[in-house]
Amino acid sequence: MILKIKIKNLNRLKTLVLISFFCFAFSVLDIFRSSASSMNSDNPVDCFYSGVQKIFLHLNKDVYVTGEEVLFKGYLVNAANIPDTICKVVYVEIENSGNQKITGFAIDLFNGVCNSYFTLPDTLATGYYYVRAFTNQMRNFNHDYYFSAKILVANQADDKLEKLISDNYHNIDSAKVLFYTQNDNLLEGIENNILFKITDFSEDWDRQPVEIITDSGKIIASIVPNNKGIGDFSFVPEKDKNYFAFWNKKKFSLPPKIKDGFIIQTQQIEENRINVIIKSGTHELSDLLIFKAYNNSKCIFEKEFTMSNGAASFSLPAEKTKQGFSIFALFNSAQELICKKVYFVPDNSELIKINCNKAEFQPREKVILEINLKNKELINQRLNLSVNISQKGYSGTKNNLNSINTYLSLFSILGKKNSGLLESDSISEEQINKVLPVLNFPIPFSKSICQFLPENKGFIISGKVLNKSNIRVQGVFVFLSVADSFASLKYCISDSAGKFFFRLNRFYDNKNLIFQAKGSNNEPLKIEIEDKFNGELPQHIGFEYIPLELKNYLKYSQNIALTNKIYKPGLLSLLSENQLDLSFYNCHFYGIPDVTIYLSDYDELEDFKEIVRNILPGVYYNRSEKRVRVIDQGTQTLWPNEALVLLNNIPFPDPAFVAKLGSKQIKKIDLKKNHVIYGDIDLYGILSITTNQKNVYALNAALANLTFPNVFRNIPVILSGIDYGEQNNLSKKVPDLRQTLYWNPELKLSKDGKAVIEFYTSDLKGNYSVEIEGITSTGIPVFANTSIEVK
Amino acid sequence: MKHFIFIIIFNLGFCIAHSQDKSCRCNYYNVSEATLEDKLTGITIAHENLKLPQGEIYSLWSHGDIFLNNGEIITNRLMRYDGLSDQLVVSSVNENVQLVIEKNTIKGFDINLLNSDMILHYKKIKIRDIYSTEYHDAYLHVLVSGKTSLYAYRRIQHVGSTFDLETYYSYVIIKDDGSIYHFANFSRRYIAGLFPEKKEIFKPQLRKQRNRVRDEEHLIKAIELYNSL
Repeated sequence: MILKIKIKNLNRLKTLVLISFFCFAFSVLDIFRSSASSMNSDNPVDCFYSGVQKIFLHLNKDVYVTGEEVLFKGYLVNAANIPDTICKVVYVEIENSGNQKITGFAIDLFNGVCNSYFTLPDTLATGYYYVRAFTNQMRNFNHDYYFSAKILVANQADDKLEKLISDNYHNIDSAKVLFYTQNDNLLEGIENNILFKITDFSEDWDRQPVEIITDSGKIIASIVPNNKGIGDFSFVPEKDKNYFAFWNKKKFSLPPKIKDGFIIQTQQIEENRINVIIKSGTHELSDLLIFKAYNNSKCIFEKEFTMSNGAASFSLPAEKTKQGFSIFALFNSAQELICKKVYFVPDNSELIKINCNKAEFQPREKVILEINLKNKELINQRLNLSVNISQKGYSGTKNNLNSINTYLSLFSILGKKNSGLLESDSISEEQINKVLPVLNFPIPFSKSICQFLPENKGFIISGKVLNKSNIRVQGVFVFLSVADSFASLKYCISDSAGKFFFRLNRFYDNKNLIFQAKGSNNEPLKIEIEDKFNGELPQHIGFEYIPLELKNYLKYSQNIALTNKIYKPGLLSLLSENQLDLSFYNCHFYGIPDVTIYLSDYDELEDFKEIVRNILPGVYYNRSEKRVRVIDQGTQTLWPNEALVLLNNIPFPDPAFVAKLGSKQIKKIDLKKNHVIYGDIDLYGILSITTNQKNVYALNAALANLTFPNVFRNIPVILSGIDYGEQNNLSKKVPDLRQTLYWNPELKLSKDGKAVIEFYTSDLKGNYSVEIEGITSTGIPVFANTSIEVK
Repeated sequence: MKHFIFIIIFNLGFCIAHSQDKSCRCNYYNVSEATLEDKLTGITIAHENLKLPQGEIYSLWSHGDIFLNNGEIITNRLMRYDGLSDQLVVSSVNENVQLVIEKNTIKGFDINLLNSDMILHYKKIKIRDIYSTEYHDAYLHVLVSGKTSLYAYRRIQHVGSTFDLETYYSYVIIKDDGSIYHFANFSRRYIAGLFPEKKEIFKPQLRKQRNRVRDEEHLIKAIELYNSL
């Protein structure tokens, strides 16, 4: 008997041991697995590919006059350049060179593209402005991923343009020399490649060389900058010496010197082989290092190695680094990123061919452009293309370096500091791969919680509720409504950080959103809406200098804009009927009212009390307390709680205002008698008053109220010009001074990859550039350009 | 013995704590999807002890999605289609409250059937009852969606004047020209008669398939056949 019990216990013990073992094994395995995954997610290069978006805006021009329309098309892609079809909203803002926001608006994205236009305000002062574009998700990373394009704007009434052309605005003494090195430092003991750029550089200046001098006065290098103020050199910084640069009799400091660090150098030794050289300032390094090359979100090459005498080299098959950018990253044995570099392969392949019926045209002559997709493999892909034909009155013109393919692959990851160098065609591709590939790409998801939500289901508006002492308040009901024909109430309870969020569909576009906060006690509250345009943007670097040629073109454009203002050749036409479908908004949030009364059907009643007493049976109005209560339809008893009163479909109107409303002011009254539950709120009857006069926001002053204009610009336009084939006498007499001859943000190709564009030239003589930009559904950027001349 | 129990509890606790830690890791955003969802409008009902016909779909609580009139979707809510009142009943966040959803605020719902991969699509459509002239909004179960759509109107009704309940199914066909046919009994002749424009092809095809259109399954096949013609 005792033996049996013992055996029984033994079996039980075995089972317990087994269970215990499994549990332990599971937990240990889990730790390993999670630590492995966390290691992966800590890899900044992998992180870079995990959630990054990039956006490119194709603008019709880069020189404008105030009052002119800026036509644009936006392309949003993920880190691997695949069109981002998930994100639904993009933000565009214009800011001046002092980083002050001029205007900002949102646009809906459809399958990763958007197109619209905006008019430059007449009040803008002459100068450079920046068009920025970003998504809400991009705000989680630093602003390096924001699209930024510099435009020059002349004020239409600026009579000082002449002075601007001749004055001493551009001063050599204010120019600076900026240096760019790999890893932002000079590494002792090994050869460093350095690129420099002189800010506000003028082509008119003497090409004074930039001299690199030791503290003992020895000249190490003397480099004459190119016509854009850019140059590069290399030297080996020594341990005991300090280095400075001299230019224009001024001393500039070089980047700081460090002892330890790595440099990745690349050399294309053969057509199919890239030599990767890794150099270190620390010669006694025996640790295992890992080199990884990434291209379009995939690790394409991995090599483990050790350094010998402070250097290591190996070859990388060139075919792995496809067009665009590759990231070369160096990790130590603890998987920590110790050095990074971009390797850039420019895309010179011609995917689209533009054929023009002639090279030279007369004013008002028909131009026929034939567009052929050269790469027939792309025919089966969905192509998103935009075409722009605009006058180019100065030598700066769009090329491969500032087109969509380079932007999406290089500019957007180099950061503002470095991309400043690339704003013009001043830097060569060799220079890019020699020095610039020092990228400061941000590390996404560096915080455990992302602050800004991806707007994959629509526009998200957020804000916070504060009390009198500016302390955030939680648990407050925040209501959102709009004055519209249907009541569309939304509410959110503020979270522990006092924040509230609403996701809005297109019904709310271009409407005044009314926010009202209602706390549990009578504490005065206030609402602050998060300004998505109010980021801490990096300062623009110099480049305020307007070359003489550009100043003259600005003056020329100003005269044209003045003529156009008189004759108004407004030829923009709506591209597609992208109208808001409001058919689903046929019902109030509370359903159908039980009673609807039109006040015009009754005799005139003086005030609200009279109206309630005479024509609203089942409603009780307390004049002294200014409360409305409703009788329950079922029990025929008065609900103990106050009914919800809506004025023009906005809740919580001022009771004193409502009390004064009579038949003259009120158009109709809707009444819902039932006890309605809306989300978590009990509504004991709803009384909705619609007044004759719209836009009456008589809001209850006891609550926190805020009106927010929700500006959306969903106006896709096409500019196809005047058809002189069917000209009439009137059009002959009217001067045609269009600088943009044709703009089509949605160019459609036929099944065989062809399209024909027909348009007429204007009276303006000169060179016109024909640009086609776009992207395929698999993420291949497309750029083609040519030019035509009107003589 | 106590030691072993302690080890098991310790290990299990460790596992649970660790799995919670991982879930925190995944929580990238500080706002849940539920915060951003639109709200439902409805009225409350008391729990009724009705003898619902067993085994029928409307006696079960299942999770599903609700499609609001304004295009928003409210996902994964515990719900039941009440065939007696032709209403959608949703279990509120506070589980003790059953909410009858205001019919005018939604355009349909999907019910994910329990213990099954099947999803039942319900659409709100204005129909006229068979022996009535008045139109009303009804939740119809989508059987065939296409050029010509077929819906089932699955109701429960009292048997005579008793409190016993029985199922009562009727069907609605909506043709591409917008014409609506509501019927409870059907046959091959009746169905073929609804499509006079293709009667000469449709009826022989039904015969060929030996489809006598006697039950719901065959009715579905018949409409699918018509759509393919």
